[in-house]
Amino acid sequence: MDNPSRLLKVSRYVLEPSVSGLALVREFLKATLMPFPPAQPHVYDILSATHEACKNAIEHDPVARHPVDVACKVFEDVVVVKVSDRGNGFDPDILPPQPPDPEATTGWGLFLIYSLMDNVDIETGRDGTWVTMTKRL
Amino acid sequence: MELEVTTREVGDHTVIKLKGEVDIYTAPSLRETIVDTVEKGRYKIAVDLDEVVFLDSTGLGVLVGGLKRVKQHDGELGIICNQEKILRIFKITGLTKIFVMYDSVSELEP
Repeated sequence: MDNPSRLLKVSRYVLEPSVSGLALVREFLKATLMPFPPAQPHVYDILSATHEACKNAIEHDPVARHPVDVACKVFEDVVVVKVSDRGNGFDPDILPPQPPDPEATTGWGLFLIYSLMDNVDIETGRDGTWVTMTKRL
Repeated sequence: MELEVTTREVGDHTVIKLKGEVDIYTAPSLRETIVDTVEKGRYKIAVDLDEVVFLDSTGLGVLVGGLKRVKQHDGELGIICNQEKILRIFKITGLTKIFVMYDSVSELEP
């Protein structure tokens, strides 16, 4: 078995369910990742994928509007971000997402998440969605 | 960070210059500007993304919607961008194939 990579930092952010708050999630990720030089070239991809996951979480919970939990773990050679919500979930049969029609005006978010990250694991159901995204450094 | 949206005429194009972050919160101002431009009868539009620091899927959708709007008038919606992190989003999604891509606004000058 390979030696596990050393965990360097764990950060957590609770997003109030408002699209105006998404900029704060991006700032949280920048502040978490920028101190680690191996992570710096990947910051845009990680914050972009996380933004899309949080945006989906807000859109799937339009009534109850629960907070969205964002947890970021920085290891020596990998970053793992987990976005958890308590919304209504979505149809898992759409996973993994196919490239949208080039003239589609919606539906790009999930495709971007899968394209920008190295591994994506999504569990979704009527009591919430858990998106775990991994980026190799 | 908010989004600044300004327009000017360059050659036969209306250039919509964006500065800041284009996301689900700020993209409506881009959509309104595109709609206003088309309603004024200007169907050749170029959106300058060189000073955009973040572009999300909603922003992409607004740009695709703008393209469909100008195409109804045989127009064009170009993207001006020389930033690799933003260009990469267009490449990943295959949208470089449907937009006219410019490296610089100077390419529009007569």
